[in-house]
This record gives sequence, C-alpha cells and structure tokens, in this order.
Amino acid sequence: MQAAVRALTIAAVAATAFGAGCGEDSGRDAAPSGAGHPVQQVALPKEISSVGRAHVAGRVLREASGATATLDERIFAPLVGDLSPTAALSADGRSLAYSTWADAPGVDYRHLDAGDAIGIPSIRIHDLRTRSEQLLALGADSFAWRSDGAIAYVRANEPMYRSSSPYPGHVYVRRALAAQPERWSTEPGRYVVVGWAGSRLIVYRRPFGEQLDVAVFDAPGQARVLARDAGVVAIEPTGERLVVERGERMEVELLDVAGGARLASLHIDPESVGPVVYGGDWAGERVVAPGNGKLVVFHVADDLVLEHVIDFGVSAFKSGGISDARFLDDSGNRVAAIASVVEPLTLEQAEAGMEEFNAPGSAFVVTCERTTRACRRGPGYSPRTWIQLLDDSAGRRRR
Amino acid sequence: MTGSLRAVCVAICAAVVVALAAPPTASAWRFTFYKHTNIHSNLSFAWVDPYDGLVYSASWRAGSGVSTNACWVDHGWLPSGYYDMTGHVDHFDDRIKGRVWRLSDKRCSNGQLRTALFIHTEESPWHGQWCEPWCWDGDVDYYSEGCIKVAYPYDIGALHARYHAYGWNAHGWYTAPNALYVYG
Repeated sequence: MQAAVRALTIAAVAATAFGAGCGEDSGRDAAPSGAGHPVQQVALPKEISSVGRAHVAGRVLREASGATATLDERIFAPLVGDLSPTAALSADGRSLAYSTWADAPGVDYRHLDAGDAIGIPSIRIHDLRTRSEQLLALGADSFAWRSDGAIAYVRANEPMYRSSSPYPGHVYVRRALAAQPERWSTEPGRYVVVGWAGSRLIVYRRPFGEQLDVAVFDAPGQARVLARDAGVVAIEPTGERLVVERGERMEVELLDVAGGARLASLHIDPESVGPVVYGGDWAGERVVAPGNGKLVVFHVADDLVLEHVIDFGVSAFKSGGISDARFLDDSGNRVAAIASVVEPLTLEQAEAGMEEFNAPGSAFVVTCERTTRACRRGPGYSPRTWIQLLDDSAGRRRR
Repeated sequence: MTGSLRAVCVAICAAVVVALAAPPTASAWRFTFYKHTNIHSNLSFAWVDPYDGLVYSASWRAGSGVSTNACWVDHGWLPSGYYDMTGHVDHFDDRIKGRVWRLSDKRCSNGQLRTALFIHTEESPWHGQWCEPWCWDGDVDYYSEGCIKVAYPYDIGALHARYHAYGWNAHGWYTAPNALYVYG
C-alpha cells in the first residue's frame, strides 16, 4: 500500500473546474488577484535590460556576466524540446554539453510524410577552458550530467530520424567523457533522459506518440515506471523526490523516487492556474513550473501548496508561451524562463503557405522576483532561434 | 448542444475558397482547424461537390492540447500550417482507439517537431465506450496531448460519414497532401 495521499484542492476553484464557459479566455480574467491570492497579474516587461542569467541562443553562449562564447554548432533538439535540457554544465563547470541537429539533404519541412528522412540529432561537448569541442554521440538527443561527472544520454539505433517513426534507442551512461558507454536499458524504446535523482536516472518512455511515462533506472538494467501519462516538473536536488504533472487531469503530484509512493497531490484549476507543465526547477522547499503564460511556484514540504502564480496573461504570448523555468537563487525567490511571443496566423495567410515556423514574433529571457513580482526581460531573438537557459543543476546537486 | 452539425454551407464563402485553392497540391476536399481555445475550437470539412461544382462545408466543435503553446510536446495545441493526412483507420487500437485520421509531423515556432498527431475521439476500437479512458465524459475530453478531438458519438460519426462520402473512401496508411490547414 502506498503512503497516504494528501489531496489538496486550491480554495474556491474546484467548483469551477471544467465548468461552464467551455474554455473561454474570460475565465482567466475572472480569477481573483487581490492580496494574498496566489494568482497575480503581471505585465510582460517591454524594456530590455540585463537579466543576469546564462543561456544559449543558437550558437552563442551568453554567460550571466554578459561574456559570450561561440559553439561549433547551434543548439537544437526538435525531438526533445523542453522535455530535457539542451545545454547543461558539468558539475565542475568545465564542460558544456549541448544538443544539435543536422537536416537530412533535401528535407521539406512543409511535407513531413511517414518515412521521410528528416535529420540526425547529436550531442556535443564544448570545453569552456580550451574552447575545443568533441562529438559525444551521433543519433543522440537527450542527456544529463551526474554530480560525479558521469553523463547519461539516449542514442538511437539508427541515427537518421524518419518522420512518424518510433526512432527506438537505448539509454547509455559514461562514467567520464572518455569512458566507454555502458548500456542501462535492456529493451530498445523511445527514451528521453530527464535528469539524475542521486544515483538513479529519471527518464521518459514514450510508448505511443507524444505520450510520456516517467520511469527510473535504479541501476543498469533495472528500470521501473514511476508515473504513466506524466511530465517531470522538477527533481529534488537531494534526489529523494520529484514533482510530476498530469496534463489533461490538471494535477501535480509529489512522488518518492526510491519507493514510487505518491506523497501528495494537488488539483490545479484549469481556468485560473492550469495547466502546469514539465521543465521546471527545485530550490530549497520551492518548485517552479512553466504554466500557460505563467510562472507557477509551489511550496513543497510534506505537502504541495500553490504559493505564487505570476500571470503574464496567455494572450500576451499570442501562439507562444513560457518555458524552461529555473530558479536563480537557492532561496527560490528569483525565477528565470524563456518567453516566446508568436503572432497567430490568419486564414488569409494560407494563400502564402505560411506556417507557425514562419510566423513573426520574438523570444527572450524573462526574470522575476517572486515576492515583489518585479520582472525584467533580455534582448529579443527570432522565435526560430532555439534558446535554453543553461542547466547548472549538476553542480548544484554536488553542493 | 455540443456535437451537432453546425452548418452545411451552400454559399461559396471566401474562406473556404482560400482553403481549397491553395497550395496547388490540394485535394478537392480539406479539413480546416481554427484554434480558439483548447477545448472550444472549430474543425471544418469542406468539399467540392462533383455534380454542381459548389463548395460545401460542415463544422464541429473540437479541441486540441491543454495549452496554447504549440511547442509543448504532449501538451500544446497543434502548430499552425498545412498538414498532410497520412492515413485513416476505422478500428485503430493503441493508446488511442477507434476512428482516427493520422497527420504529418509539423514544426512549431522554434523548430520543435510535433509528432504522432491524429484527429480522433474517445471510443473503443469498435466505436463503443470503454470507461475509462476511452469514453466521452463531456467538455474535459476536448483536452488532448495535441491531437484534434471531436465529441462522441454524433460529431465523430458525422465527420466520418462526410469524409467517406465526399473525401476519400479509403482506409489504411496513405498520403493526402495539404489535407488539413490549422490557423489562429
């Protein structure tokens, strides 16, 4: 029997869940915003200033100090997205691992039919001291540093990704960059490495389409499913627990990694708060998650409690949104994320054959102080530029 | 009333003409999905009648994703643009079931690929109800991982009937270029 589950419902929202209004945008505007209510409306900042958060945009690593370094290739992970960091520092801060991608010759992204060759993902290592680079693995598309310098990644059996194909592969771990890879998975599958929870490795298994099952490897060859139909919001720095979100069910759950028990759960009101999405962060007793035009902060002790929602308003992003939310300090007060504002397409634009990838807009880093809701934004990039906040969690786990 | 046929349009409205005229590889029929909200959007099916040459259309309430961020794998609604249809199966039996239309992969604004996309409902492989999760409970079932979903039983039934009557009366995996345009 699992440990007792504390199901908490945000006050005053349960009755409105999936209620009348059929998802009209006005539901969000009706959310209370007075003092003490977790949902606070904040305008998306317009003026550009220094955001003080290291990130990679295209081929450029921009450190918090403003110093830059140029990578050999652009970061890009079209098969993984925000499911796994695409640029991460080793625990010693010397090596930057990043995902990149090479298009298949002649690929036409407007018509990606089943079996078409689309491209090859790979993982590269950039030495920040010597500025030299090496290929870690070809046909590989997600990775995570362990605090002792080991690196886990997924490598497909065949490097070329073909449209609508299962793209099966295996999970490998190298104890050091120069070490031989050790295969941890016993069955080929569509895996995505999420991160380390101590010595355990958290991965997604994608059994069908985009569906996500959260699994954990306790050791090589020893995997078990932690949560079906779930996304990982954040892994506790100690590796003991993790927070997952349940997508359509509008729930977040606190799970014990070692035993798999569900320790707490929280219903998220779809109108005023939800949904909450994977790709967040954990510092101290706080977890931050991207939301639909929002940054959602939970207090995590024995329970999950919704603490703050910084609500930029989903309409501010048009067809874009918030992703890759991370804390900037150990207290969990300052938060950074990637914001993308993408213009929606009109029917008339069909005549020109436009698609979302061609839509005008911009993407930038946004940082906020959780307690004051004061937010700043960095310079804008093309929405087609892949931007990733630099993942330094391996070093934080070591501290 | 959710699920009822909203309109059968005899007039040649400009929007439909645009949808059927471009791009040049289009068929004589097309789906159009207008993104309004995740659980209250609109799926239309338009076709050119072979006898009178007029354009007709029918539309239904539909949903996609749990978020309006099209770059969120497993959560965001469909990216805008043309999609090829890569097959239609009546008795699909995987994590989704029943009548399905499979769509081609599509990029979102930053190049993220959305994959394994379908038009479907919540039903069993033989078009019944298996609770849970393969049954239609109401508005909540318009939410999806990205796929376009229409209500059971009337909307999926009407959509299926019109597709076979005026679209392609074929089953299996095949390619219908530019069979769906998503916008909004």
